[in-house]
Amino acid sequence: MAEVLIVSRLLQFAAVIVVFGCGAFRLYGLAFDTTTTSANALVAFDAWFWRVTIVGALVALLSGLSLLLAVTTNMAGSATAALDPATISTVLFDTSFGRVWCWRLLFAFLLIGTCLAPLARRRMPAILVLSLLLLVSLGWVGHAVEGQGVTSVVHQFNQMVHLLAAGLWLGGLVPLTWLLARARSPSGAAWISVARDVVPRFSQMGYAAVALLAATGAINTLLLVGSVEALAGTPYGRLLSLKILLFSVMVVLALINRFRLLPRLRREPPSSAPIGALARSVLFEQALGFAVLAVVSVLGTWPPGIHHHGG
Amino acid sequence: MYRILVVLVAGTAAIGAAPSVWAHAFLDHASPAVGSSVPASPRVVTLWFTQDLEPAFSSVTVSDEAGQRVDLGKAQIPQGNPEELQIGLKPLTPGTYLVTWHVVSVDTHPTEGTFTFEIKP
Repeated sequence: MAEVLIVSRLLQFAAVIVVFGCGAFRLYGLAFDTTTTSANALVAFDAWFWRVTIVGALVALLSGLSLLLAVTTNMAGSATAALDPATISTVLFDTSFGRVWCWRLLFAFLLIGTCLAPLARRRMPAILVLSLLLLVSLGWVGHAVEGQGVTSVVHQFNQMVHLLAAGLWLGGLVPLTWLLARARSPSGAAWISVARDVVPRFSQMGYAAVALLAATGAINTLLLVGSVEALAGTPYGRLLSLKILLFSVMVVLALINRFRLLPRLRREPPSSAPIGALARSVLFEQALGFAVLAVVSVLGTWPPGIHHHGG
Repeated sequence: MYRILVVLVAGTAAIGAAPSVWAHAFLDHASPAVGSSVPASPRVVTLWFTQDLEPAFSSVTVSDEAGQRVDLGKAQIPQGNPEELQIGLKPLTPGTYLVTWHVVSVDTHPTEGTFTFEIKP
């Protein structure tokens, strides 16, 4: 059952981060531009984004349900319990995890409804708000709810900011890849100029998101691991170190993109050469991001290093 | 670049496949203390954990050397102390008693364990 839990967590994280990341990308990258080219780009983006959202919302709902069953199995101690409606309802309504999960399943339902409802003009803000709620509410369950009083409040707030920043950066890489793929296509001349405008905006946002991720990640590490010895000496600490390593590689890649590829993209006459290099690099960054999510999915099922009392 | 990626993903997968069912709410201390001797029959056994518990999925039983239950049934989590679990006891005669607990912490992870205490006037 541990595998079901881990895979459900991974799908849940990935779906929610991608939908929110795309919605935010639309806002800071495309929505405020009023040129004809970017208006056309926005129409094409919205058509793609709608498909991403409906798939993402379905994945979020289904993985949310399978996660509920895996947690029920865990809590009740047997796989048959996951098939017992009474036990499932006890988990949903009588545990702190369940009370949060009810809301999250509702948000996922509403997100699917938003995609299908005929409210074209209000759809994008609704998707952004619902995906934001789905994202930050992940901070209301799990390790962040450990501890008492002020520590717990600080930890949960910190975790919400961490998730938000992860959504902005990791999630933003997906629409960035979509845009670069458009610009690389044979008929992509107009898209190259869109990319020249939008990539610097993503880069600006990226600075803030990476800084937030590092700061909130450091606070989380302090709260859950507590010491350098625990970071090196406990299984949780070692796996967290792998996550930090993967994150660092991503940051190095992002810096290479920013200081080597972005100037080329802006300087040269519109061509697809720097776009191709950037697209490959961003794709690799995205794969690393997925590996980070896989590590996170496992970490949530392990006891934090701070709980190992010399054992 | 892709070779590095394959190594990283494989490494992650290998770690993910490792056994991962450690639990999160550990027994911090108990009264009567774990393995202790007390002179008279205690009215209750109290267990303190390292984390807040889910009442719906946390239980404790106490039994004597013959395996007979000597507790008064349903364990309680006192109001305002969500990391504490209490269970009432019948009047006990001298002997060794086994406390068996099974709890779920608020981060959804189950743990279980046992310990004994002794009544020796």
